[in-house]
Amino acid sequence: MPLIMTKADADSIQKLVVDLLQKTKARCVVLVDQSGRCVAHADSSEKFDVDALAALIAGSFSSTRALAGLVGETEFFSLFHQGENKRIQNIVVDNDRLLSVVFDQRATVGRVRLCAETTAERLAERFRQIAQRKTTDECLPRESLVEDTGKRLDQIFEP
Amino acid sequence: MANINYAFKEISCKIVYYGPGLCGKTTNLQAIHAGVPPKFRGELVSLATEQDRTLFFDFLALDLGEVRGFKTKFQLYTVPGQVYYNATRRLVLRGVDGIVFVADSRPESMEDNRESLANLRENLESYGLNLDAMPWVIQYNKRDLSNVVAREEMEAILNPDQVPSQEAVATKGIGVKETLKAIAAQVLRRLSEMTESTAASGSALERKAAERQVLRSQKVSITAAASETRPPAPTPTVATEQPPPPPAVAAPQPPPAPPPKVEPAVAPARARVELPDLHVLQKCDLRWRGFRVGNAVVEISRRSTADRKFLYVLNCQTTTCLGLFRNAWECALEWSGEETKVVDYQTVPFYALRRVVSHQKGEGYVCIWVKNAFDKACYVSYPAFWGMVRLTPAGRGWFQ
Repeated sequence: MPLIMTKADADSIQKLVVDLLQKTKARCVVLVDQSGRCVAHADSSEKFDVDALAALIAGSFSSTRALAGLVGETEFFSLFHQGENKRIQNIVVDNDRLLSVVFDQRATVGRVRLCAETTAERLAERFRQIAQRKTTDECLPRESLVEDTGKRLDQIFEP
Repeated sequence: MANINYAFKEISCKIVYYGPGLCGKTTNLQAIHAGVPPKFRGELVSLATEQDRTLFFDFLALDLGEVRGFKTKFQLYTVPGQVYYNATRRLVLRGVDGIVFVADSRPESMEDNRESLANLRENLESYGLNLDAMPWVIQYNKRDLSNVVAREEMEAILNPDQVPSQEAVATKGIGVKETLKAIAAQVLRRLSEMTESTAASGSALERKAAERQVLRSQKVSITAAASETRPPAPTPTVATEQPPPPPAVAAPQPPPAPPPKVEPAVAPARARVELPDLHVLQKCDLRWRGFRVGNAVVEISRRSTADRKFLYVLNCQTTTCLGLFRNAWECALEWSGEETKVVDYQTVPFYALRRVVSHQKGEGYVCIWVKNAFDKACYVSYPAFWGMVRLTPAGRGWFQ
């Protein structure tokens, strides 16, 4: 079943992500689902290719989870990458989502991890509520959406 | 699992290009990347070896902009085609909404095509998905070569169910756009159907249960021959495995009263919950009344027996009292159904396995709870002469 979010859901999730960005003075915060989609993101002045970031984070976490299984762990709950200038802290939100914080020397690892774990718990609670609630009455415009998507693909492919 | 954000009017779908090694999956993405202006796509991310063989996946984000009021995005993935990368292929398939199966049209590749298609079905089943119940298309690639298998023959071998198919020469970009259009149409149509029916029913949970039931009944018909299914609910699965599936398949067939059959069908389907293909191996703490008294290595596995029954085996090696006492024991467990337990102040569903064991002080239960197949963790309690001792996944607390 697709994940269907209302405006209130999207706003509350976006607020949590933006708050985390501001509290940690991070460069970018991305909420990713485990299939590699970006669910929400916030960034500072520096812009990243969020779609590619989400896909790679999810891929990295999937392979790490498989590694955990091989060594007898259920999973590794957090993953940290350190570079010369930038670092990435990944935290598991729930079975389907990951929170990733890209930061530099302006933020400390401990503070980022602490804030990210708190935010992850709140996000997990929010997604639990979304899953349990009755779904919206909205639905997609079926045939017109399909037809127009086909026409759009025709338009964007260069001859 | 697609994302639909009604608030911001966004749709996001994941499409995976699957097929044997060197069939043209990456070439498809390269052709799309070359044929679409940068404002409608991201960069092509390729995790590949030095010889340009896909190692993990290729990824390309396609942003079609606003279509009927919805910002429509597709995430396109390819998988590594070589046989020994199966674990990686399974990871990439997670959350897939639509599949493009790229078949190599050369005669010497037909066996690889068949194996890859079978492998795709297996990997989808590991997520509880059925290829025949989801959007997919076939692309017959390399049609420009001199000696290719006739399309009719390829259709008969690979596409008996007549899903949409397309001939292509991916190196020249021929057929690539048409394939993408076909899968996009299928995915969006399917997504629209799901949202329409959910809105009509008014309950996401009911819809989910109904879809699970549809998928399960389809899965039963596919896997009955593979003898992997177990009997329906009430009796433990130690009973016969093979005979019940045919009646379960036959049951929905009689036309009279399908609506009344849905309700009773849902209840046994939930009660007979898919048994996990278990192999859990973990190190745990031993705790007695909250105090850590030692550690254990616990392994739970499921084995088929000669008479086609399933046997769960627990193997446990414990070390207690600062290493003074070491013990190893093995016992067989019975499937006892699903239970919920409070762990870390959350109610969590588990698969319950039980065994009555004889002990110095008399008989007691070995109780094991195993979490779902994607997040395996086991919690064990067994009687010891000083009281009930629990094994828990290290660092996660212990059940009450």
